[in-house]
Amino acid sequence: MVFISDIIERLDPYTGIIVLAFAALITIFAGFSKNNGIKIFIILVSALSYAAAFYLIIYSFIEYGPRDGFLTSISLPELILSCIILFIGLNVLFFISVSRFREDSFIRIVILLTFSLIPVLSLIMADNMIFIFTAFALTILSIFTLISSLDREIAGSGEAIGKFGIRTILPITLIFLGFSVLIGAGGAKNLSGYGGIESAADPLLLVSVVVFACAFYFYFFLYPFQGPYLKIVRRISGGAISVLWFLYMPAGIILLIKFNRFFDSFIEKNNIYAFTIITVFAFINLFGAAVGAIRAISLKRILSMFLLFEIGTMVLARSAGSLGMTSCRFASYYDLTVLIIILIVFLPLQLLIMLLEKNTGKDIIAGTRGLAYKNIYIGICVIIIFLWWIAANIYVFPFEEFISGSGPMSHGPGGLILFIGYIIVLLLMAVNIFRMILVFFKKLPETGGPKNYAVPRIFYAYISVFVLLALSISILIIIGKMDIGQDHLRIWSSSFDIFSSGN
Amino acid sequence: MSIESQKIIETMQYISFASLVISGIAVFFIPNLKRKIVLLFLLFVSTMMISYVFYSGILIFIVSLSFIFVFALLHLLTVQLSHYGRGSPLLPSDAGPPHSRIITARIINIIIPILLCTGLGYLIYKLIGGYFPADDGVHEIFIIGMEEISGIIFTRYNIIIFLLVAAALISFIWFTVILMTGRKNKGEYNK
Amino acid sequence: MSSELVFYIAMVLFLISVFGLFVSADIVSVFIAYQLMTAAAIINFLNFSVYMETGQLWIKVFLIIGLLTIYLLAFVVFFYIYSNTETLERKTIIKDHRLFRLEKSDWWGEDNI
Repeated sequence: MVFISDIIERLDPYTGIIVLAFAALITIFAGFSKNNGIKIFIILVSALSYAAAFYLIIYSFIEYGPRDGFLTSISLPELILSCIILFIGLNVLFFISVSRFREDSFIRIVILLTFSLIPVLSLIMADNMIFIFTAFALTILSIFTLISSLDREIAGSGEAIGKFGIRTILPITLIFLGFSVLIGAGGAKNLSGYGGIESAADPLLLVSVVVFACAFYFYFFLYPFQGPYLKIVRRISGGAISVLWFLYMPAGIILLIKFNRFFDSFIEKNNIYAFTIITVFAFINLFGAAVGAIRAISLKRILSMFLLFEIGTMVLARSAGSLGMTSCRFASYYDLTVLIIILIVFLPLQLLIMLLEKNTGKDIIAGTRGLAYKNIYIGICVIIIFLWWIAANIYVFPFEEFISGSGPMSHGPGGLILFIGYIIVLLLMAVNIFRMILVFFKKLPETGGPKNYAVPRIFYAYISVFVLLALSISILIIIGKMDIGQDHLRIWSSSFDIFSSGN
Repeated sequence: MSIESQKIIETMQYISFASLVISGIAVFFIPNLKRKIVLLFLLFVSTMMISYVFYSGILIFIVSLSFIFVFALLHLLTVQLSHYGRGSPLLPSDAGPPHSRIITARIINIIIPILLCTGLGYLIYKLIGGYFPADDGVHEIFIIGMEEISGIIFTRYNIIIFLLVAAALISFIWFTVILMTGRKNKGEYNK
Repeated sequence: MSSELVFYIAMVLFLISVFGLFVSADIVSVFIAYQLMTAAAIINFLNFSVYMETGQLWIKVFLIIGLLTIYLLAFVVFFYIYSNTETLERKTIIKDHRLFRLEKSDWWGEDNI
């Protein structure tokens, strides 16, 4: 045990990365095998390595506490994000195993998945700018290789993936440019060397912040640059979509949380120009996603627009911050909450897409017709997830700023615009969701169409976990609101403090 | 450093910056793909000249190795498809809107980005004006060699090198997946 | 040349690349726009390394590692386009990469596969 502790101490803080690298190395030896037994063995090795990395990261944190190094900075926010990413990795492994088990290149895809978690973990703990940049670039590289290697199902997917790949080079180049300007502003090698109100007066810092903001905007494919993202989601398989939604987007959110120190310095200034620009882009995105989803019939397309909507709410949170509605550190807390909402809502919905494709061969929403009768349990779970999603979006946004005090005008006409605009887009999203729920209850035709959905048992367990998680969170919040037991604010404020101290 | 050397370096700076800007603008107005590739190479050479005159000649050797691979691949892609570029007869599916509408769209397509970039440029100029301290052109020159760079990379940034080497290895595995998928798809296309 | 002038030249290159991304359609022009942006970044890095007293070694390390990573990513993307797509598909891939294109299918309804 002393020997193992010594090794962990020597490898710290890279223990998780080393474990994953070791698992990838073992998997390489079976890289070209098509034997089902070996595939199952590789799945087990990978899953155990993710679990071992999970345990070691928590163990290292408990043993050595928060610590800073030349390249890294580890505290509670980094621990939480690392655990979330490893949890995501397990889920993506599950989706890929379900959809791609019979492929010849399955084991190599698992290698690519295991490797893709390594730069994301590095990104989470990185503090040195070189380390951040390299980890982020390699994250994009590994995600692109993973998406492109999950086999093509539809003609035209090569074109969509190629265009997506070309577009992913742009945010990396912009971040490289942003760092080049940032160095002139301060010369610090670590991100923690920047930030603070006094540095906000530096014009080079402002230029670099604008460049970083553009990089994030292009990275997330926010409106009006959403074309390649919406095209690719229609043309790739369910397994590849899980990589796009649960690795690519969260990696961007993680980097955004790291960069919040820059954005917060300027957003705090209550600048009318900053407020106007951010609000315009936020509402372009929110309305674009909400309105665009109304006429869409493909479930993949609708859900991808919902995801863009969620990312758009993060832009709106910055807009609220620029108005002085929220404190400067609210943004990191909000980003983490959005990440958790995305996982709780979209992971089980990803399952719904895979079920649809399995049973009907297509992902159009008409394929869910009669789901409430064909498979009552899955239907009810999906409805609960959708309703929880609307409630979560209402709860997380700082509506109490408008309801308390002097009402909707407490933050001037800008606040009123935010309030009304957000209510309208939420109503539009509710319309979208109820449209989908109505299809579940449509009666099946007398002849034709499957009468029952073939649902593997494990899907029931999987979707139940997320429904229980969503319901538990709701119950905790309701209990807190009713002043029974623990105050709900204390639950969230403790997580809020974690992020404010981390930044 | 002698005055003559300073003058030479300054002249090289002006030449390389000018070639960068001119070739950068020209490339977007030249339709031929092969000529664009030539201009790309000129851009690359200018960038390497700039790194040389900024006393960082070591970058030329290291970065060129990686750039050459990308350039070679892009050149292969362009050569293969150059007969699909402009000047080739239009396929029926390529027939588009009337000529006048295309010209109007192109003019608008150029004017709006010019206006956007001019506005951005003006904003940057107003913001940065006066920020840099007055410069008399005299600086202490440090030329850093490969041994110092490799020393610091392998002592303090070894995890980054590990990541890069692992990425290269994983890319090799990915190449095998892509090539085998490509062969399978070609088999389907040939049916 | 003063550091201010060099910074302005770098920003001019950046603006040319932004112009190129909005105007140009084909893949080579888009890649060249990215190269112009990278060149602007390289110029900034080198500019600040000459005029700063400390951190010169670090800046050069950043340049080397950063550029290696960017080119590795670009190589992987182009390799995919070159090797896993048929000639006709390559023709469409190479055709239109404008940053902003107003297409109805990206905003409303469905895009037809």
